[in-house]
Amino acid sequence: MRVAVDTVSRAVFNVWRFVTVAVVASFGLLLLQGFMLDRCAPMPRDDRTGPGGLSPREWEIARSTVCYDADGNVHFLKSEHAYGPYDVLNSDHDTMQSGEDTPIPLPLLNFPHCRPYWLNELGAAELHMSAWRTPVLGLDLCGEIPGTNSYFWGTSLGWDAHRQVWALARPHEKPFAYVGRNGRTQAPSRNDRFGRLRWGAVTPPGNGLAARLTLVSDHAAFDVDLADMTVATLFEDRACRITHVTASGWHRTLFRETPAASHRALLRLRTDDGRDHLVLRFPREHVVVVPRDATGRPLYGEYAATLDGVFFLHREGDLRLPGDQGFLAFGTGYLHALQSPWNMKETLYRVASDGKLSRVNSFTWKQPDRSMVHYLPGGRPRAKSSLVTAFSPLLYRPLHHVALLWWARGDFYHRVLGHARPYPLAESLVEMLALIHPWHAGWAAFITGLAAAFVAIHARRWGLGGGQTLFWLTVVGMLNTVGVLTYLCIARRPAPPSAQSGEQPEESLFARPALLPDQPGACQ
Amino acid sequence: MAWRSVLWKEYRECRVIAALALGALLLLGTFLILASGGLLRVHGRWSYESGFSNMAQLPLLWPVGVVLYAVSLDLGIALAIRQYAIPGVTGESGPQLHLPVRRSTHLWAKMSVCLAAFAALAIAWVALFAFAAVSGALRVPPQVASLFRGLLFPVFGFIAYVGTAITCLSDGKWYRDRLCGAFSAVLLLAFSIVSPSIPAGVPLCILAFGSMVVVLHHLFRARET
Repeated sequence: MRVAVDTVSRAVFNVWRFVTVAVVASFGLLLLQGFMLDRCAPMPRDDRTGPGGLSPREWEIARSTVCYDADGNVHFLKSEHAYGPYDVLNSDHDTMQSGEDTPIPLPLLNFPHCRPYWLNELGAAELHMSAWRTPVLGLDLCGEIPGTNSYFWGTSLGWDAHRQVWALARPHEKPFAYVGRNGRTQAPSRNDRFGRLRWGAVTPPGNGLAARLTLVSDHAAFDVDLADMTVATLFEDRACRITHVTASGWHRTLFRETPAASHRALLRLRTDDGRDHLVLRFPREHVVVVPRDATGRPLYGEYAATLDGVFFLHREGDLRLPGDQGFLAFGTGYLHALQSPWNMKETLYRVASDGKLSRVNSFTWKQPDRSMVHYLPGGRPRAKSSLVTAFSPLLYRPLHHVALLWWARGDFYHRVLGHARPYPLAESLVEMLALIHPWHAGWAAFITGLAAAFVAIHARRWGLGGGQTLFWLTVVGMLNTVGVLTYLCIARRPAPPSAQSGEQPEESLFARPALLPDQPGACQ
Repeated sequence: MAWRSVLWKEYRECRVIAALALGALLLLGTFLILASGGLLRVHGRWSYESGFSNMAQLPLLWPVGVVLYAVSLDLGIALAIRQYAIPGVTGESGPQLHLPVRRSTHLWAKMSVCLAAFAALAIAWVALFAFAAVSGALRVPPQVASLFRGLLFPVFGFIAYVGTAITCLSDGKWYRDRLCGAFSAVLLLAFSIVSPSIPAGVPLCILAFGSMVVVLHHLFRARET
């Protein structure tokens, strides 16, 4: 039993030490090589000028952001950091803006969350997840009431998680009043609760209006006037549940400069019966939309409201992913889709006052964009990473593939379904792996050969056994320079032959060095 | 009898460090709760663009949690140095190891004292939470979730203890593999923070920490001085 425990603990010790040293050496070497690359190897010119085969105008379009005006015209806004559609196929009418600093002649529609948002053959769970992320109010949500009169100066409105009620309090004091559906009350027991809150936003004071608090519960939306603490119900329907909320310009009260197409504050409440309830301000209006096309197919998208009308932007694509949602099948299918571009289409609709949709314009392009391509094997320009040798291609390729499979689902959720980045760690890993891609196989093989030769000579001089030497050569073959560092950190020189027998004692690779007689603590 | 003697000896050696850590946590924690006056620390002020919804709030007891985190890590490092490094420097450890007591007894006594110190920290955290909730020092009672989140910090301190102990017991060179214990504790602590985004994160953390305990056991049994 004791021998077994010793054997197991020694094995755990050896594996643990090897893994720790290899991981630390990898991090250190990657940081060093990344720093050197950033210092010494600037981004190659061809990455800024675009891929071959695109005309200058096409490339400018590819690097622009797409916007619409109230007449349905498509505007391509140049942006230094944006990667727009890769290859424009068709649009009814478009306009190219000359630069970011140039004033835009027409006010553009402001759609909230201008992200790709479309569904394909996904199940109900993904359908639910693909909608906007509904911010659920945190239990600690609290803040000073902005722009209120002197009576409320310094007053905070906070969510009292203990009593499940909104409370008014001044600094260093306990709550003095509570806010509910029935307005302001002095005691929490008399407070008519809003219900489970799903969303909240404050509109700052302006244009003669006091600051307002908008709260959305499962079945209703409320507007709280923070000056006199009166509560108005914007929407209520006990028969259905609010599943998603988006707001466009809801927090602003100031109009834009051009009144002809100035934006109106819009609050969109999607209910579980498939209806979109649009609550508009300036003037107050309530529009119910059932977003379906002429064939009855449901549409998913975003709304924007101006004084010229309300608009709906629908986005869809013809990407077909495998029905199997498993890790391997989904990742492989998505990576394959990224390497074979598919078509995307945006359609702009005008929303009539009775909720009917009428098509205004559409815009079609080809995905993926270049920011996706960068992650794929061979997508990154070679000059940036040509000299990296942190890992040998033997280990790098399977590692990169596994990392891409992990990254694929999160990237799909983020880029296609419009979620916040669900797997930031996977994205960082893939970015790092794209940076350290050992591009030149010959150069990497040369470094591996040098490292293997060094280890072989060093192990021979130290008198390591054949098995140990073979193990370290394998490690160097897989890990390249990281393997050499790991070898230098871990490998120990075997103890000298015994003076009595003259034989080489059997020594484990990871054996602790023998203590010399003059060392303190050694047994005499 | 031998177990009790060894335990008593370890307790006498470590009680000053543990008492200092406990006192620092209680004093600083009470001061922070009283000094806050119930003001909620708003992380990300209200803004015209994002309005109210962007105000992700810090938990009410967040400053106390920071103190607990720092005290836990410091206590783990200090206890490991006191139990494993200082006896080697002063020459106390050699005679102790040759007493008629199993080495495992020595190790488990050290770890028991350390666990007791971290349990005291956890109890102090619970007491601070109860004080904040019952005394009315905070305008809004703190969430119970904060209590359980805070109980993780002594666990992080124990990870730091094991990592430092491995480094103290290792006889490798500083520039080779001696710092493996400290590095592995740092890696494990960093991974513990990001692991909620990884499905296998918690089992990996448990596996890594279990390996560190086994390594500590192995090194302690193999030590010569």
